[in-house]
Amino acid sequence: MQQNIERLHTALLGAFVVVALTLGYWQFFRQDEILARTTNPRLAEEAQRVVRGKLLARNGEALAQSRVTDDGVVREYRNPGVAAVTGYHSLRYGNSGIEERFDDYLRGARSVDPFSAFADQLFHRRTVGSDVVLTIDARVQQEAVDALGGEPGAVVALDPKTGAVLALASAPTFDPGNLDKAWASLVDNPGRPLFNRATQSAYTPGSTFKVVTAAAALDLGLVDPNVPFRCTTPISIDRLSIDCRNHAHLPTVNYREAFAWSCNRTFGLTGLELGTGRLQLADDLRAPYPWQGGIDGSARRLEEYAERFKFGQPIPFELPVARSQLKGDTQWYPSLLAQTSFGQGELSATPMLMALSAATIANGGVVPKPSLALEARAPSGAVTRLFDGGNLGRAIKPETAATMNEMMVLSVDTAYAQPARIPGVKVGGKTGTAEAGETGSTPHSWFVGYAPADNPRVAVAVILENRGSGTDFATPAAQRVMRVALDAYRPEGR
Amino acid sequence: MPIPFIEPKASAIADENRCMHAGEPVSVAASAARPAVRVPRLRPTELGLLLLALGILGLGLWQMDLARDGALAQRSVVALGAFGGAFLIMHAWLTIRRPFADQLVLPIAAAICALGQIVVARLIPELAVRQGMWVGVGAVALLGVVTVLPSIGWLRRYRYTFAALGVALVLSTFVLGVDPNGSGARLWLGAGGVYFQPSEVFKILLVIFFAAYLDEYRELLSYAGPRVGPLRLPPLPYLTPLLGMLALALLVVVLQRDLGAALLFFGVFLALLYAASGRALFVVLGVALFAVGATFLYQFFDHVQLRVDIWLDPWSRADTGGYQLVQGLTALAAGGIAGTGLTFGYPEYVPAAHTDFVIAAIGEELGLAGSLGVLALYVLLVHRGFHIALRTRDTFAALLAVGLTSVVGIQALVILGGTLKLMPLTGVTLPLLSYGGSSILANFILLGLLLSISHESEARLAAEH
Repeated sequence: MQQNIERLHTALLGAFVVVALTLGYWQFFRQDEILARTTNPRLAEEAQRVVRGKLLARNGEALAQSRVTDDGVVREYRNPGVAAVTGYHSLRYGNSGIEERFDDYLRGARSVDPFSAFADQLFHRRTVGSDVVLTIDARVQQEAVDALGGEPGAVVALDPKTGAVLALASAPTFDPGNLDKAWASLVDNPGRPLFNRATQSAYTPGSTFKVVTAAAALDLGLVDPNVPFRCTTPISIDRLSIDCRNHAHLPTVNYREAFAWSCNRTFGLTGLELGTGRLQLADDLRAPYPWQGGIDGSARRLEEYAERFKFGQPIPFELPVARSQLKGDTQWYPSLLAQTSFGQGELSATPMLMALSAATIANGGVVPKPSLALEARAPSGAVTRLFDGGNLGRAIKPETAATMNEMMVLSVDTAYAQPARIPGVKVGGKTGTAEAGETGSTPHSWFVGYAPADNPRVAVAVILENRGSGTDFATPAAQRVMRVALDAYRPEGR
Repeated sequence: MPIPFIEPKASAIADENRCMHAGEPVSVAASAARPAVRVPRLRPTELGLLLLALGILGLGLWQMDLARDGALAQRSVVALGAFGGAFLIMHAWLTIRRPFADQLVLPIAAAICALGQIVVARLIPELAVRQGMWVGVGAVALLGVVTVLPSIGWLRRYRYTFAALGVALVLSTFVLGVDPNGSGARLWLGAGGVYFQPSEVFKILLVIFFAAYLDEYRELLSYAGPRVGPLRLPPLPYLTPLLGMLALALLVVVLQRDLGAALLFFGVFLALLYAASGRALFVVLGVALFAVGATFLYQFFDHVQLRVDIWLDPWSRADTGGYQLVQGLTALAAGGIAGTGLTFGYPEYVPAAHTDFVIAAIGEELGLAGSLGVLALYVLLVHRGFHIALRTRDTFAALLAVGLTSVVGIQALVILGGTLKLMPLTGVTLPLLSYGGSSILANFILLGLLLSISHESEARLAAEH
């Protein structure tokens, strides 16, 4: 019986060894995989304990910061106006915007100092995340929010040389500090406050797109901008009449004036004739028009320039940017090409893309790469540079950009963009009044521009949805933003 | 009578092997007849190790107080005092009544109980006092066993009485059973906040009966029985009362959906059958029978089927039936090697972390180091139990020791295997560690019996030399 008992003992011992090995299996070998599962409530618990890094404006104001209270860590935002930049941080609904993009810095997961991270864990200290310094200027941001006045629309302001975004506003917006309570009503709100119009909404750009059409014609050398031509008779393409009523008081214009006064006939023709050797814009056009056989060539050139201005292209940015498009899946036909060329048709563009278009002119023809983050500052003091300051390639020649600059200044000085004038500063700009949605609805009010025109520090795009003409609404709003930016923002070395 | 253990330690060691004075009471008949036997006056190993276990409890409580309030709480001092008092009184009374008994069993039990106290104080502080009281009740039960039990042989004599008592207890739950904690099974007796689970005591009565019966028919089991080819089958007629008892026990607990208890009873029965007969064939037949029974249960009982399905894939049911198992495994993973430290983990996400899933709570906050430590304590306890069985010449006492030890070992394996996804989960407690009065009470009775067996055989061995 002794032997039986010994064998029994061995068997039980063996079973305990199996249990011990299994403990090691779960606690060591499968550890990381199990902890990463969504079934692990500790992920949320740990997130709740982290003192998240601040989101700072370039001049040090905190746009978002975390405060330790008796009830846990509370995320506070400067005001609801920063929501388009910061996004939200919610333990229940996750992160969005910059809170999402730089989450690993903010929650301290990317600590540059693994030793202090280990020490924090060992001594059960709260993890303190890195602060992220943004390119945003708090004053410009506030002015952009005020200029929108809570009505649907968006503002993007950036440094055309570096791509540093100074303001990014979208209205209507939400209070990221009160997200959890307001979530249901925010999601159901038909005004879609959670939707970032500045980067996500693609609108018909209207006449602001004439910047691209004109730049293409000038870059290809198809037109002498100084030669006057008579421009009064509407043209009819596929039974669509395109007229000159925008400059009814100026029967004879040169290309600069046609741009400044936003002549649809001139730019419809420009698009149709991009494939030809020289633009025929004067009144005495007779059928058969030269473009009727050459529409493919013209369309291809417009596509090429639109692409250089990043239509249909992904825009690298800290926030996701919707793709803008020159047209949908439709085949080109003459009236579509003409309408596209003056900013209607199937065109759609985000406020971010239109701001980049203005910035490209201001930047001598090179598309700047938009950026929202300057650097991350770890609690230890270590700084990681996040700003790259590169560009997205050259769109047009420097000479073309210089001519375009003059034309945009002319628009502000003498024509529809006059409300953008700032005393003592040369301003370049282009208005847009975009027909969108049902016929008869109030058009979108657009403005793109920059200042000072001789050494630009700020480029801006403003859209006010269904508000009316570009001149009356978006242009004065943009002027406010540019004026504050010139006052507040001094890029180093310029 | 002077209490020896409060003497200074140096003299205690010197005293250990001194001859007892004539006329000093010796509780065991075998040695009482021989006054010349050298009776150890003190149990210094037990005392030293008990103090170590108390140290574990003290450090654990202190650590949690520091983490929560920054200072040692008065209630922790009280808890430590009460806990220490209970074990030191047991130690003292063993020194008097069972001086020859194994000196490691009580400290191991104390260490396990101390961890149980820490876990309850960590998870549900309101229950800590209650758990402490149950340890006190357990201590009284152990003292009672040690005081009242005339000899191990006495248990054998009343084997049928014990069996009948056990069956009566468990059957009474069919009539009077209540379900005070909403577990879905009416396994408790009692009223007014004090509840008692008869199946916990039933397992001890069952082991006494099994051991006594197997001891009686041991020779027959080994050599008799019809031959089929090279195999000699069990002598079924002789086994009938035994199998009848087992079947009754299994039927009762299966009807009450207490599958953990059924598994435990069956496992202990097979262990005892093997220890008594040495016939591996019996174990094979038993396992085959078990497989048939399990298949039957799986086919006809939805709750058994669900348990097995959850065991096979808890992850896809992580929000429903698999929640407890998934959270338990996640807690273990969160602990890693060293654990988060007491109060710094989130074991409260594991349902029943203070009872069935106590290893998950320990694994999270004390890490693999802690969970393996717990395992080591059970391995040591089982080892001491088998050691006691091997040291005794009395075959009934040996079988009883094997049975009692198997109860602790197999019950620990059943619940650990369930929480670690080695086998389907069945709700039993981790002996001495989980919160639960009946379990602690029963296990202290069990310890008392084990220590009595040890004393009796060691005293006899000492007398022979």
